[in-house]
Amino acid sequence: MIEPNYDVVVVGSGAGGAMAAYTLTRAGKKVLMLEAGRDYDPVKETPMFNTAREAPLLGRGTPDKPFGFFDATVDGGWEVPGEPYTTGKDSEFRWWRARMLGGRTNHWGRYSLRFSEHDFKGYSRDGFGADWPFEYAELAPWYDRTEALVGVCGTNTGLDDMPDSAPGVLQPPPKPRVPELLVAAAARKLGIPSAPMHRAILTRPIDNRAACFYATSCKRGCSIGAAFQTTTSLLPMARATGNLETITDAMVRSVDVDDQGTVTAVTYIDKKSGNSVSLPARAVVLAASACESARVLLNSKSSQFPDGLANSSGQVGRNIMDSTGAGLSAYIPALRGRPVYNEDGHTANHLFIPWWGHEAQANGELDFARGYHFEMGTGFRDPGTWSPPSLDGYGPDMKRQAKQDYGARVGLALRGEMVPNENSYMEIDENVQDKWGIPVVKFHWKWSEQELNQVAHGLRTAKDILTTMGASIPSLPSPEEAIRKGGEVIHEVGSTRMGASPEDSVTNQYGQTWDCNNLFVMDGGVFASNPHKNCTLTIMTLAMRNASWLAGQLDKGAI
Amino acid sequence: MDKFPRARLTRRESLKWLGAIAAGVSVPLIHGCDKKPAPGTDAHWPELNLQPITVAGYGTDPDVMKPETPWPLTMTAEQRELTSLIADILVPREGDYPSASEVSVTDVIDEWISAPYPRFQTDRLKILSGLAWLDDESMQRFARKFGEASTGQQLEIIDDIAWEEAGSNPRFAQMAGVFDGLRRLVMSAYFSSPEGTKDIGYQGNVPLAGDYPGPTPEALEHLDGVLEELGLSDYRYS
Repeated sequence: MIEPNYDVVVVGSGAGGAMAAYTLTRAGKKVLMLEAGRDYDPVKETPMFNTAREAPLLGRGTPDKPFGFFDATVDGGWEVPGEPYTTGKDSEFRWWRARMLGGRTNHWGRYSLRFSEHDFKGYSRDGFGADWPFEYAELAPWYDRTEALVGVCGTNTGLDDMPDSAPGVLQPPPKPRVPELLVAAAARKLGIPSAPMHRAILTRPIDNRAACFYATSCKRGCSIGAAFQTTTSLLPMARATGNLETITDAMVRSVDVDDQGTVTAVTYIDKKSGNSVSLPARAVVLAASACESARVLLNSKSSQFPDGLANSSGQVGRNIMDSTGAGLSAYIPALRGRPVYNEDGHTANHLFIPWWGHEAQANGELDFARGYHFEMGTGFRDPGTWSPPSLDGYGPDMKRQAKQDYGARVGLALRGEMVPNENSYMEIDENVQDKWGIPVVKFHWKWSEQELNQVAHGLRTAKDILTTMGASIPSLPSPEEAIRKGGEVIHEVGSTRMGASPEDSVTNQYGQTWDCNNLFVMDGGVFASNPHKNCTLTIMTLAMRNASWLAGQLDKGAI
Repeated sequence: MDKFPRARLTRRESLKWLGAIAAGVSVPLIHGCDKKPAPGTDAHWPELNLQPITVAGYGTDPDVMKPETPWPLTMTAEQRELTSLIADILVPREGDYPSASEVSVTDVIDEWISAPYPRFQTDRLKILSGLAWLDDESMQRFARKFGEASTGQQLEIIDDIAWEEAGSNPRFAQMAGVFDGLRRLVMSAYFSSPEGTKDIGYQGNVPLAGDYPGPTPEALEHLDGVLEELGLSDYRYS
């Protein structure tokens, strides 16, 4: 094997991989990045301003494009052609993938909430799951650096669910919309606070990225770079150092080791030729997404590692957590026929409801251990994406009814923390291979009482808030009916969790695998718990911190 | 996937899909019409034998900058005519605002029912059955197809299926469900047109310089009234 002319191979170009590559290249390290999907340039490929009418089927979702025609996802969704996954008996799990440079950062919701002090010590607090191997204080400065680099709008609220950023880090948030102000008033009457959402949207320009001009959905991607995605920020910045080389259409199959158990190479399938390629590697960072990275490890079997690489703890593929999801919406009579104005804003929540129940949980007043937040679904949107509610009759009177209802619907979407359980995990399905000949993932999934009780609480609360706003909600679904399937919130993490001991975790606090000192995981797989606050900001923050540590180890010759 | 499923407060089971459509996800257009006509009534329902549509969809990496619909439209000229007729009964021309068919709502519906994806093919069966039902019903009542009936005769049928009461009438319940779904598809398609978008008043999708201005004074004043009405004035967000 020839001596590599790069220091680190990074697998994946999404939140974790791009931040790792950015950090390493800025520290002078040569990085070779492998991406399983095609090259992608949001500057040239983002359908800005196209209306729903311009798309097939009014832009509605299809199996080809589950989030609609204009969603940025390329060659992905719940199913990727030729790349199946399977599920165990009585398990439902859905796995969203995107096969494109930048991965899922091209279309993500950009909600960017910090984890709190208590989030890192969940096990110590309530006995569920595992603690993280460090305190919030360790991560706080890295959150500041990440938020400043990524560009996050929001405010410091002082709420215990929303740790403050250092002064000057956050950009100003946009003003709340009318329905959000109504939700906030109703919630406040019930003793529940609302706050500006923190979102990775520029309201002030930085680097080459423009400030948001408050139009056209961020899910399509953002050609002006206001909505954060790695393809308009970290990747071009890393490339500008001259230290980044990227190979797309490179589907990693395994990480290979020598007789001493040291990582020496990465083997991938070149999707264009179908050839298997082995690249020598001094150090490898897996950031292929939590379940894809765990799949690579489990498929990397050798005489030293018969159960898969870095799996001496047996924890690779275990502890998978998604966020819980459920929601409730209603038409609010008092909002019918309200004055129309431009409510696009940054096209997602300006206000949201952070978790307010820590004290009640500490006092043992609730029958679930972990919190949730509510996102608000409101607004005068592109009317082609809207379908009026029940209408009666026809003609001008019916049209007037429909117009009155426009902008009168309010939804509350719960996003909650799941605790890991032994029934929710992934393994390799030895009987099924994808079109590249790589054995596929088999998922097992079950929600526990923790999640169901939390969702039941959320539904009751959502009903209370909507009722306070004047909605009529005669009955609620059961939590079993209401809770989304595993994977559907697309916050799956934990499959290679970090910890304080090689006995019960896959990596140390730096994402370095306990078993191989030149192998790192820098995606959501390393999460020891999955707070309800959306995973991407913390994936990036950890990748920045841990790639900095890796650069230092390389400088010292420790790796 | 709808982030905000509707509360169970709707009058018709068939409305459940609505929320999902608002979130940009396809779900079957029309529920509530899978049941057979109630025996012992003079209800009827056409048995259509449709060949499945097997052409390719737009794939997982379509050119989103130049949206194109790759599948051919499949409605017959007669079905398109009837669709236009119904669409214009729902949304007739009003002053400066065009009728539904004038803003190509018929094309949207034809494209919708001609799509190769399973859920749209489910809608196809329902919509085409609904169109056939209208002709059958008109033949029974007036011995002529719906399109050849007088406007008064057409509205007599429409009045039997377009109102909430139809849902509890065994003779019309099935068609009422289909009509309700079709009505909402027509409204989405109408409001999605440039003229319909103007009609409904949507002001977004334009780039703004500077900070997002937030609600207008008029909108805030209206909110004040709402807060007052709901007894929430003391709980204003600040």
